[in-house]
Amino acid sequence: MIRGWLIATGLLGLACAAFTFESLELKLFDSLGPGAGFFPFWLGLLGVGLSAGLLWQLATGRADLGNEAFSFERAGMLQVGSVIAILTAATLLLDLIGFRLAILAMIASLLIVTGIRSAVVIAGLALAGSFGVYHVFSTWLKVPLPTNALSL
Amino acid sequence: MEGLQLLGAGFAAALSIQNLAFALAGCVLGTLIGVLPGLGPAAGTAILIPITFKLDAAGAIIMLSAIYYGAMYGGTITSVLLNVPGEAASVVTCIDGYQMARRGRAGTALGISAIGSFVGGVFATLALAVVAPPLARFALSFGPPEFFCLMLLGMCFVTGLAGRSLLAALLMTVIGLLLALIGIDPVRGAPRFTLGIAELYDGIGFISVVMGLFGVAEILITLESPARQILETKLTGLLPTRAEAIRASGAIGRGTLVGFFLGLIPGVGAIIPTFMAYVLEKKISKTPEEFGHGAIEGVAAPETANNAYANASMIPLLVLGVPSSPTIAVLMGAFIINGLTPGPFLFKEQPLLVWTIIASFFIGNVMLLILNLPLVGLWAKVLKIRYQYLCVGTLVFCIVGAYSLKGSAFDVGVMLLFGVVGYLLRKLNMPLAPAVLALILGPFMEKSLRTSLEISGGDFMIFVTRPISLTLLVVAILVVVGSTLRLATFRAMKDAESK
Repeated sequence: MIRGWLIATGLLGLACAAFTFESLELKLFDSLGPGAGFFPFWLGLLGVGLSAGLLWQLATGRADLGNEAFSFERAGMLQVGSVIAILTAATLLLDLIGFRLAILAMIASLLIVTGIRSAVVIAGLALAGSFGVYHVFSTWLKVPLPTNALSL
Repeated sequence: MEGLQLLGAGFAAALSIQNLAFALAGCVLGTLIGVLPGLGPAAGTAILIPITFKLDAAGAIIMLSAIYYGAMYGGTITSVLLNVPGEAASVVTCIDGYQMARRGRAGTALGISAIGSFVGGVFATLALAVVAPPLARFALSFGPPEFFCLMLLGMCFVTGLAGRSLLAALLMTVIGLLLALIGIDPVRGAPRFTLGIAELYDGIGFISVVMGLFGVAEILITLESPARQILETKLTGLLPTRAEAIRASGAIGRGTLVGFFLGLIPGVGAIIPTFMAYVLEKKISKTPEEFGHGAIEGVAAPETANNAYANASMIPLLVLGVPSSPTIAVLMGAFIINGLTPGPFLFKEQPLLVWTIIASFFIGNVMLLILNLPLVGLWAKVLKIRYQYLCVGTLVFCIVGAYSLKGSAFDVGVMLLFGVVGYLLRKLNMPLAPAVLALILGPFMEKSLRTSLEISGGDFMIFVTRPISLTLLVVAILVVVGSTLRLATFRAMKDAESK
């Protein structure tokens, strides 16, 4: 748990430092008053200070993180990792092959990864979730969703 | 009186067939979201924003608000039948609700929850109608320094009450504020922190972030956990016996007051009112030993407080433009998407719209009572759907929702990124609510600060020379100091116990 917090706090502190550094490229003050860099500069500095304080608390055992254990189970992690990979692939493919095909593949893959084995169920849900949802949103709700070169 | 007159006009508009249909659809969808374990009201409301894109502003807000308080109602069903809270606010209901279900009294537990929720919701909405107009008139005298201090106070409440580490909550607030600054500077028009990515010129989409942090992250956590068994019980006898009704009525009254007053304070969150209402009932009960073993007051009080809180938390949003929880922040986002800025000026410029929305809260509460009592068996059946189907269905809706915000796959990527970040931060128990509230308030806060300093010629004394801003600043400092002392005392007690 502590190691996770140390890493997360360190990364958040680095992000704040990056904002502070970047805001120096912007004006802190101009002729009208505070410039575009004013608020982010001071916020970034505050964030660096807070993360330093939290890191010190964590290092000296003064931070109260509760009793809940930070657990990563191998089987669960594999499933979560697979789901993230499938979602990333679907996101990248959305504009390329269109909503219907990308989501069709995504739903089928997700169902298989999460333990559904019936081909009929997988096919039915994948078709309903891709072509069906597309029809509802595009035709009825007039929400435009991406299509490919073949208008699919 | 003025409020009640305007409320009458609001009712006339809210009772149109169209708005009634939106409220009903919102109530049904909201209850469904509440029933499904793992999908909370914040993610549910955010995911369903796209289906309101073609509606007018009033219809969209009516529907999304109904989704919110519908989800608060629906969470009870899962708590009672599954011993798993459908949303965070129903945690306390699990204690006695599930015990009642094991004794074959699930119907009564759900019935008294629906009645209590109705009473709490209607009282809070009535109070909103009475309190809102004078408070909005008072807030009209606020200038940029007052609004800056008000938002600062709201954030201090949120950080002060978010978890065990004040430093972590403050750090998350700063991160939220910094993320809110990405995009075009609202005052000077210069691009900031965009890394040359054209999609970031509009900033990071708040709705995509919420869908990621609360929707995708929640699904990833659900996929990691083992499936749960629903308690097979007959849902008969929804209405309590005379003796039970007498015992529950006091609990409903007290739960209403606890939920209402805590709903006015930004950052309290829905868990605290339900927990306080439960503890209060146990303390004053003549039979405290029954609590934890199926006491009806242990279900009535927290469920009433939960819904009174949900409706009362609309007051800071509508009157002051300050959201008090992530779900209310999503609703604020929906206002902004529809070209409306919640706050006192909305009452002045769009009174009919505001009162139509308030009137719809009453109608929604009646609809939920009707939906929850006779249809409770139907909702219970939803729980038997395999979690894989629900997770996949929710992910599809998340993708459609994120894409449709700007018609860009970039927002889907943002949602996914924040889903992974949210999953990891939740595993670490890091507070997410401060970051979400800061993300939506960030641009307003920066604008108020910079306008204030432009007015004063760069002099920070402007915040302490005006009585209202000074008062708000003092209260903000007291909140931070109070939170620090509270956490220090808690830690000292824990250390003493361990020794």
